[in-house]
Amino acid sequence: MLSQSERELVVRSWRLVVPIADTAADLFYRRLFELRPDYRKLFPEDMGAQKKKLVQMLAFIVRSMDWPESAWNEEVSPDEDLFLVVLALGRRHTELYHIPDEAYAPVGEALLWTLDYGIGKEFDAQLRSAWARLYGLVARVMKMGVRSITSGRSSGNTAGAKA
Amino acid sequence: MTDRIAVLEGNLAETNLVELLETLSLTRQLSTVELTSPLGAHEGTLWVKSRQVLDVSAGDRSGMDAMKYLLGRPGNFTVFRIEGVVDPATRPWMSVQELLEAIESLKTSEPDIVRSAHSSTGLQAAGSFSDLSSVAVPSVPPSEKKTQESPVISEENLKKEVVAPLPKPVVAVVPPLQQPTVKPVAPQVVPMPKRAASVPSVPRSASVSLGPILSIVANKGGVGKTTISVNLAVSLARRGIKVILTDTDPRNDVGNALAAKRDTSRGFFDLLDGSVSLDEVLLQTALPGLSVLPAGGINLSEEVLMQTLSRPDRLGAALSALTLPGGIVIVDTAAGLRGITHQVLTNSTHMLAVVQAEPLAVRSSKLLPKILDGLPANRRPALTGVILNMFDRRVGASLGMLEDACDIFGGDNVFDIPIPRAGVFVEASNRGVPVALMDAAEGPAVGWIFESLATHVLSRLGLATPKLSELQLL
Repeated sequence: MLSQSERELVVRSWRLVVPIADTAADLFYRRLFELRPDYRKLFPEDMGAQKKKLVQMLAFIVRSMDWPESAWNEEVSPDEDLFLVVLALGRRHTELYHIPDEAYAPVGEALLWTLDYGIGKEFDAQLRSAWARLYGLVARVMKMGVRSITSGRSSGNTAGAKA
Repeated sequence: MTDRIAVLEGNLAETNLVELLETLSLTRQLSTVELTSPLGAHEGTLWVKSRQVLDVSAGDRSGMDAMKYLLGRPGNFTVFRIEGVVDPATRPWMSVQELLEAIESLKTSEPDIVRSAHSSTGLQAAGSFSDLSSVAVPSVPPSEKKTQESPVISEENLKKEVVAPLPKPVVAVVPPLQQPTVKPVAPQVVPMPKRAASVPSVPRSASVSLGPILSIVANKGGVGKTTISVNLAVSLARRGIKVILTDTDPRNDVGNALAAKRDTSRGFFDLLDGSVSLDEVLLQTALPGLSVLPAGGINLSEEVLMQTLSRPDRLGAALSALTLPGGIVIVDTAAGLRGITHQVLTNSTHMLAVVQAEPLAVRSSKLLPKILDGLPANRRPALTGVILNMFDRRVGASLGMLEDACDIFGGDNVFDIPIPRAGVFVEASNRGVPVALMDAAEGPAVGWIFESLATHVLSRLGLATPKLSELQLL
């Protein structure tokens, strides 16, 4: 769980990454494959599209941190819901791409390394900790993806309606 | 209609309640977590949304008592998301953060409860981040994995299983439609019910030069607001009225609906931001009287958008700048009455509410007059009308709904002709064409409804209705 100040740190720091997003994506994969050369084969030959997706997903995650407490009551569509999106993403990672659970650790390391490199001196211990916590949560939800239920609606009464 | 959609299920031995709460802090959906014992008996329920815990119950227990009961109990969980809008009057019980902190502090005061809560393995990777040791992400090194013992199912334990009565709702939940009865088809135009007294609305003191700014609002999404906005705008424009249709929903539906080949990435929100002028983003349509200002804002970052919206005077100024003498500004809004839509409402002269023609949606629309009353008199739009949309004549309660709506809003306010569900709306939406402009062969028999709606709106706005000969018949 991230505190408000941690969320703010993440959101603000992302602004520093946006201008160098493409480079950051390059750095990330370079670092990941340095750490785990055996992961290279899990990815396509041409990494262009993959890098774009990475940046988009990170941007989406950051965006999802960026809303005021007062908006808690607002409706958010399922496609824009961080939890649901990440759950589905995780499911695909496991079932479609066969990414093993133990991959989340080196991916996290590569991410933090990349942010450190890209953000520079502003990437202090606090910021690092905030990003690590965020990544930890996201990774956890992704791993839960296999338990997600995609068989559609169980419509009708909620528990409350019977009361 | 409200659906409860199962999202995720699991075992508390693998993911304990604390971990579950942490992960659910990422969701903005209204969610319930149903906890069951290993035997399948219902143990308790948590209601969560957007980092807030709305309610916890376990049998007769609620709040912290319920939490203490539930922590560490074995069993399974299912997470559901609920489609529907939380009653705006709901106050969360506490934030997820506060609850997690409270549970942490239970460690010292009531360690037995919490020990069992933390004994499960969690879902951490076998290889933990070696350089994250300073981070307090709960993790259990693999060597300390414990397996939960399956509880002894003795008769005594059976008696202990709490079969919880279902919790009280905190949500304005709308149960599903009643089964349609097999009756002969009723005519589309429902005869006028007995009228109740009108709800008087205090009109805002409008300055002379301010033309009407008519917002189309709905308490919840998916009721057809955008369809109505678009079709109403077209009907008005065909009568020679100058109409600017603008969209204040960041989802940009109006732009997508009407202007498939045009660039709708910039519009209202960019105008608010000051990065464009009106000329650059206002789109003319094939109808001379109708211009469209899409929501746009696609390239604006979240921070910029938030900053812009924290200046409601800018929003008011932007809307006023769209008005023309003799013309109408129609504003499509994001569903719900909070946030941007609230700002739009307080800067509109009139509003049209769209309510789904379904008995409990109508009854829960009671909130609308309350919310309006809550606005200061000079910032309160006049209620131009209430439209019952997606009317299904097979539903026996149709007349009753109309009566209910009249009771709530005042008979004069409810538009007489509920707008039926019709395939043509979906088709039109898909093609990005207002119903009125679809080929006659595809037959919007329903198109005439918007003509009637336009007449109603014009008379309520006190604007002259051009003569028949002046009507532009496309």
